[in-house]
Amino acid sequence: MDTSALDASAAAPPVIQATALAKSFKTPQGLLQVLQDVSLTLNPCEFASIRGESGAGKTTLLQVLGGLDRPSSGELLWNNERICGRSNAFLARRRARWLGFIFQSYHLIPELTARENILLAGSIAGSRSRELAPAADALLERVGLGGRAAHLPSRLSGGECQRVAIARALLNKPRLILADEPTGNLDERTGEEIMTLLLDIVRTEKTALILVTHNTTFASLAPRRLILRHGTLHEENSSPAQS
Amino acid sequence: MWPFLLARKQLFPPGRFPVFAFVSILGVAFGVAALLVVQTVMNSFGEEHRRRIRESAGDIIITVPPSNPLGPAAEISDLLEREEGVKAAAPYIEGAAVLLDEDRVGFYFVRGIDTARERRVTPLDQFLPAEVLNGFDDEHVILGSLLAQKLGVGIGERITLSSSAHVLQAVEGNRRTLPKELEVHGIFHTGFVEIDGRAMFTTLETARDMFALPKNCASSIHLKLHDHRRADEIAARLNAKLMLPPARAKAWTDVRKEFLQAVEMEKQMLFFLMFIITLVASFSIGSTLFSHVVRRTREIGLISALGGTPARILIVFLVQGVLVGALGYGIGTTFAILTLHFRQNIVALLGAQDVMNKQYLFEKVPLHYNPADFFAAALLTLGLITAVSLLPAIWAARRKPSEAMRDAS
Repeated sequence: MDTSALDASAAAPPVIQATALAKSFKTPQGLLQVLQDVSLTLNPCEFASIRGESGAGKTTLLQVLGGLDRPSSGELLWNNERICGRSNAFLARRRARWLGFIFQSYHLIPELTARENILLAGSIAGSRSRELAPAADALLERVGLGGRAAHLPSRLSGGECQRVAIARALLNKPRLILADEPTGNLDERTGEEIMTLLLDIVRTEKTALILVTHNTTFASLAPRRLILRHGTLHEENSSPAQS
Repeated sequence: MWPFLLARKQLFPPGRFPVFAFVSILGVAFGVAALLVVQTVMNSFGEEHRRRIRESAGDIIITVPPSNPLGPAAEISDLLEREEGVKAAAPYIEGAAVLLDEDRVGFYFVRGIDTARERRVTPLDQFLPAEVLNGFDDEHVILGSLLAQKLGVGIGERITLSSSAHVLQAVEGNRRTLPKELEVHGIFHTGFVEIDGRAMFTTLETARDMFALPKNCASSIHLKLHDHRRADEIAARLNAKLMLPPARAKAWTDVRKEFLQAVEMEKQMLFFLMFIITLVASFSIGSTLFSHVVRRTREIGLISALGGTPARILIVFLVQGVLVGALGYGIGTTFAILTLHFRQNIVALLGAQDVMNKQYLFEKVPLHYNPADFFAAALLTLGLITAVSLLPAIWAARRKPSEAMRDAS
């Protein structure tokens, strides 16, 4: 898989800039520190992978970076815009326009067809479904599901569902895609197909990508490889990750 | 707008039977149907009684004690007809009569009427053909249909009536009037058991003779108004301006006042009971909706991740509640209208015809739709369902997307 194009950083501001992020949870046993002093800067079109053991806090990190959860301390900027301390509605509006999410278990709405699932992302971002319909159809073609647009998720295989999820993440032309174990529920061959497709689309769409994965092979495809250890983010074979 | 599309799709998922929607909508529908049927039936009873009272008593009655008959009745009636708001006035004589024929002894009500005037105050023409009324004279009596049936007499047959005056004279040993033998000239049917089963009409002159009243006198005069809703106001004005004690003008609303109040109270109590039932149903639906929302936790997290604001997430679930309420109301109203349409068959099926005749005095369950009942039911249903839907909707909107996704996985 060719990942060189994703390596190019542009003059535009970083898509995401995290400084000294920390996240802890209150538990009956006391405070559980999941993330500490996490700093990360990602430029447009950059592709970074994050590995880590189960329970290392990879998903929590992705949720904090994506504004789905708030850090206990630290600073987070999207496109040079300060995110911490903003309202939920503000974060939601920004997410709709700037970020795309891909989840391990696809998270498609079971009552909506493949096409409707993709269009939902556009509708939530404030576009009219009718205007986005050609783009949704083109994305479905692109992920190889042109003939399955009217199918409900229950009629699609796991790989097909993840293709729909990729198309959904791309519809609003986000500046950054956050992919949380996108191949975790798929067999090896399908996982490879999905990764190839994802990287191919991300490269052509000029979108930055953070891939959280257990899979060392997929992680190694990223020009920038990070590892989360004891709640701290490190560049692989180096000290804690810096911009 | 996507929240509406999503609400519709979640409520009626394509390719699957919408269990949640079906149960919830049916729950609301039954509640609404029960509320509307009870309200409409009770409303109809009250309305029908009020109408019958106005039809038989007029809008206002001028009453005097039996010892002070009104006279000259025709002149007083003319005077009253000139009053503002009064459309017509008719004198009448009313009293108890004893039927003296063999095997037919019993007490009944006789009303002596001036046919020409009476037709302008009460709807006689609705219940009797014009030729019967036109040919009605002092030798005739007109009987209620149930009374005629009970006595086993038909048109052309004769009955002998004795009034309360006859009885008193006989007791005092001072007999001045004789029992009247009258020919049955017509039989009327109003559908109101109390009237059809107990009342009979004679002419004013025959009644005067039977009850030993002076010439030109009557026991009461009743009035027809241009607008029956002004009865209280006009009765008060007549009392202040025209009536010399012991004569009193009484509005139709004061005739059988306690009975009408009891019917109204019954309606209010039943509304209260139905309200409690609807409230319980609403909470059950609220609880069902809550579990429906909890099952959607993953989707709530997803919508939030895609950029759905808390307000829009709230709308998704609130719309589902409102849709359940609106569809439940629509179906419930249809149920209610169908039930009311077949009310007579249902009464027959329940074997409740006797109760209908004896307690409510109707042969048939009356039906008067009151738009206010339907409006109140709509307001109540939608208000309650929206209120109980708000709680799960707020719960959904306040979920942290990260928690929603974590809890669902």
